[in-house]
Amino acid sequence: MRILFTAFIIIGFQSLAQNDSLAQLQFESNIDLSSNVVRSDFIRAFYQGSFIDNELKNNTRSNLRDINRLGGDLRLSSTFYTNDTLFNDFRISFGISHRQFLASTFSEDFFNLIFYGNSAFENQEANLNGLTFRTMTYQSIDFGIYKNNGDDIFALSLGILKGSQYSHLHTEDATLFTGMNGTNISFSANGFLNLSDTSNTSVTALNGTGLKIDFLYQKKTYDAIYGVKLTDVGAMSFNNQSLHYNIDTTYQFNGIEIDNLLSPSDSILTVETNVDSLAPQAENKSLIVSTPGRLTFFFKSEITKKSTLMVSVDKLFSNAYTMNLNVDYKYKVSESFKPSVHLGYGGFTNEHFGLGINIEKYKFDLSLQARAVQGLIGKGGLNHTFFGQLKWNL
Amino acid sequence: MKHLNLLLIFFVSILILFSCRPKFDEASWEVNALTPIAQSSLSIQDLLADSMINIAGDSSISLVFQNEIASYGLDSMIQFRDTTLSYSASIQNLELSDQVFTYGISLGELASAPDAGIAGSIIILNNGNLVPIVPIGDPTPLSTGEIDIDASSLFQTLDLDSGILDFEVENGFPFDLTDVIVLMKNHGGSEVILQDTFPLIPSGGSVSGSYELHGQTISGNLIVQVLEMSSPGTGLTPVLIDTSDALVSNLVIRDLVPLSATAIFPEQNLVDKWDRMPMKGLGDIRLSEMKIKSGLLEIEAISTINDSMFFEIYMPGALKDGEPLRMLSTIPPSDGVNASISVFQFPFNDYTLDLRGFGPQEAIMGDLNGNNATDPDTVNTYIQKITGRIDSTGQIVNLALNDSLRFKVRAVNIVGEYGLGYLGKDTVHFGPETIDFEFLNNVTSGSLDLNDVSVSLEVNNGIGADALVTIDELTSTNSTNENTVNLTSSELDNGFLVNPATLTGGTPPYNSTVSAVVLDESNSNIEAFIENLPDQLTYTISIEQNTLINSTPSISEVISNPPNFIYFDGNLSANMNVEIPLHFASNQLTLVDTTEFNLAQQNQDQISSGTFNLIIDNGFPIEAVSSLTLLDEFGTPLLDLVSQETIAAAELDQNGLVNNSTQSIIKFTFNSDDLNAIFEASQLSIQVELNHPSVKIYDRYIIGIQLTADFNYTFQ
Repeated sequence: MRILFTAFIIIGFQSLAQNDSLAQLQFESNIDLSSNVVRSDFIRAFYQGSFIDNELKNNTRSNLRDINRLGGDLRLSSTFYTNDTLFNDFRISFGISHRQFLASTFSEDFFNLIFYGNSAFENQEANLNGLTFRTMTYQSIDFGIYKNNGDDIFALSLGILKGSQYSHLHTEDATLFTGMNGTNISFSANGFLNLSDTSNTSVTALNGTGLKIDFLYQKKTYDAIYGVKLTDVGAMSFNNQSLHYNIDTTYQFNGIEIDNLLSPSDSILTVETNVDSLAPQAENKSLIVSTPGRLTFFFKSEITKKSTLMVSVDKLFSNAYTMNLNVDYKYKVSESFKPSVHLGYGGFTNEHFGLGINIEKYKFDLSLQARAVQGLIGKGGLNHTFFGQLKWNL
Repeated sequence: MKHLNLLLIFFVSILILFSCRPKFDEASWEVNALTPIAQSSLSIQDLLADSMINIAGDSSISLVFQNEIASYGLDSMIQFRDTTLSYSASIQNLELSDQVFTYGISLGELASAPDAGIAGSIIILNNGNLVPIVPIGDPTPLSTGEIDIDASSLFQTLDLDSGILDFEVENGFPFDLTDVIVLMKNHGGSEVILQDTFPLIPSGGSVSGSYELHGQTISGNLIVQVLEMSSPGTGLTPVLIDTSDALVSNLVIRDLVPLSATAIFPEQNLVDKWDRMPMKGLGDIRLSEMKIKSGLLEIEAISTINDSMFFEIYMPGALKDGEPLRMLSTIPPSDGVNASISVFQFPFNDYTLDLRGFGPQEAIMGDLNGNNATDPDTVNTYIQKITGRIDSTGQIVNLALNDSLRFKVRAVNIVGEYGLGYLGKDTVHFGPETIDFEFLNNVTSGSLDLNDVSVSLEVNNGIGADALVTIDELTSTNSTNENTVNLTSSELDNGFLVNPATLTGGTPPYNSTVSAVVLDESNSNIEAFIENLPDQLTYTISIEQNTLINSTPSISEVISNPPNFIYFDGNLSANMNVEIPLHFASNQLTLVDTTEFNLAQQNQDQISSGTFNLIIDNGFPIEAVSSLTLLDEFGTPLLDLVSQETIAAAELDQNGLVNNSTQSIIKFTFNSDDLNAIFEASQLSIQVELNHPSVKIYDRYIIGIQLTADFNYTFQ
């Protein structure tokens, strides 16, 4: 299954819209696993469940800065477009999609604490402020309309969402102090933790429902194409089995207090009970959350008869994702083969670059584009990002 | 068929979509964790209960059980009562800015008036020409009509107690004016503010007058009118006619003392008052300086003023880090119906107060309290200045002289850190009171020879004043057999004197003095007293202070050379010390015990190696050697965690007492092999060997023990 998965994600490319009038089946993939500090070999080890050794940790530690970002966005979809004779000039679309989203920001001390331990913070305070960790998994069934009149393209679809999993941890004013020789540990934090139903966390779980919209408008002038695109903008309500923790904790641990040094057993039992009571009380409540939508503006122009330049700016609605600028240059070797080069800055990472190809043959329009290949070229790269699309004219 | 293909493709898509599950939960890495594990403490009471104590031979250490019978210090000697100072102030000096207005009427306007007649026409027609002016206003004088003066942007109404209106008229016309009657009144009102007649205003000249405004109410919309005005003309002398020439009036309203006003007020202090704050509850104690350990300064402010008030409490004699106390806040405006009531609290802790009153500050800043003299130094008194101020906001507000401000300044819950001065000659009585006397409960029969027990009554004086301590009554009670024994001793008949503590400037800033009376068979019935094996003591004690000072020192003596001091931590305490000699078979006292030891094994495979830190804070003045050994269930040694490690002794001060413990850290490094023994062990053997010199051990001495671990842990 992993081979299937890998094969699928390599079939990738980005297309803005339909351009013919035939019924069409379209597969899209969008895989982004990036960070401005965490190296790809580290992410790969984490993803594959490997042992993260000191070399991996040290290489990433050298990149750390005050605020660090790590994000992942996996979006897979399959959409069927009718031909335009079905509904006047409009085409109807049906689709399904699956999305797994992760966004996190963390301090340098947080990384060092989690992956090196608190020994390094002996007699120091670890700054854990600004920790955010947000994950969401959901699927959708989409219905939409699509119209292409030659100069303008308009598309709008409405998606019914099935939420599988959601978690959101956010802390402020969080510190952990480790005393000299470990004589005491003091932890304080403010924040919250929201979790969807923890008794059923599988992909097939139905823990939430919601709605989303996707929107595209594109206008063609005599020498350029402009457009705006909104994807996955919506909200979900996770059921009342969801958990809300309000974190307002100050805790100091000096070791188990042994009242009678010569008979410690009873004391140990007592302290364990007390430690249990330190956990913040969970509140069962339904959670209404927004989906991580994306807004994209793009501009595309033919520089020569054989070369095309596209510039786009996108922003994912997450504080871990900065404004992302993309520049793509595509060269037409032949009508059926068009390689491309990509440069960009922003997103979950900073600078990124990549390569792509577009092959049109028979009824297929197949494209591949790796938009951040640093993570593939060398271990020192920081991210992997792929976009892909396969169109099949039926 | 085509639809079947589509359906198949959709199914394949769904399978692909749900096939990707990363193995995040299987990733692992190693961290270095540092954590406390356990802590405990050990006192001599714990050791006494242990059956391994062997008393024999003549090598001795002494255990001294110290029971505090009575104690008093700054918090009980000086109980500061909350000090309240009230200010009630009406607004005696409401200041308003001088108001200045200028208006004028041109020759052209005057000549165009209906009653200007032919002279007016001549003037209009000859603008720019040299012509003689015929007489004007005969027989009907000219009038200017009403001229509006709008000052409503500066004030709406001024209800004046007093004020001056300066009125000046400048004649810019080319001819003299005669019999000019001027009127000023409020718009829409009939009451005349000003009416005056000026017989002659020469051409190019001016006339002026000043008018009292006592009791007048002036509106922001005023009317000025020249009721009558004539001119003799210029005869045959031609003059240049310029219709822009003007008759100009300048109005200045000054030195205003309003009863009330709705106006824009300038920035001004409405309350500005120095006052003294005497410390209450001190009796005949005379303090020249004190430091506050804790307390609050509370200000309650009640204001009827329709504007925000900014107030400041300033105490030049209250210093913290070298800076005088300044406390600022804002009292919100009254709503016009109800007074605004605000309560502010400021921390007053850590301020050092100069309690000499106005004298020291007036020597620097001059007279502060308005008595035109530099006040002499006093005691128990600090000073403060309270200022209430309004800012110039540019907004029109209503203020009246009967508006009031009321402040209550309170120093509450004051606890002193130290005090310098004279502490008085009070005699303090303690008791009759009964206290528990439990240490003999741990003395098992045969472990002590009570004939060797000695008892002393000891007074520890941490106060900078001498004290005469008298034991009026001391009774031992054995509640088991209800037997009581009264202590009698010739040594106690006249009490015993304890010299004052002395200042050192160090930490602590004083040296306590100790005075003790040893009670034995020769001077008391102490043997019967102790052999009663009391579990309770009942006492009555009197402490007379400053017996070495014959007369109350003067204020100047208290200030120049404070005879006494007292610190919060410097108590005068009376203790009963029971000293028990211990005799051991050898030079070492060895304590050995074995206790149950079981660690949960669920995380064993995630720990690879590390170090145990045994942190010992030794409060005993005895060096010790410690060993910790893990045993299996049959008592077979598995692992020596700590072997013959030395624990440093605590240091003694000049009085032979331990004030601070000495820390020793014993590290034990373990590897994965050791871990098997650690997790398999079911017993822990603890061995402590006390190498004792001849020192006294007090029952308050404690050994603090803490076990921490620094280990490699694999996260999974």
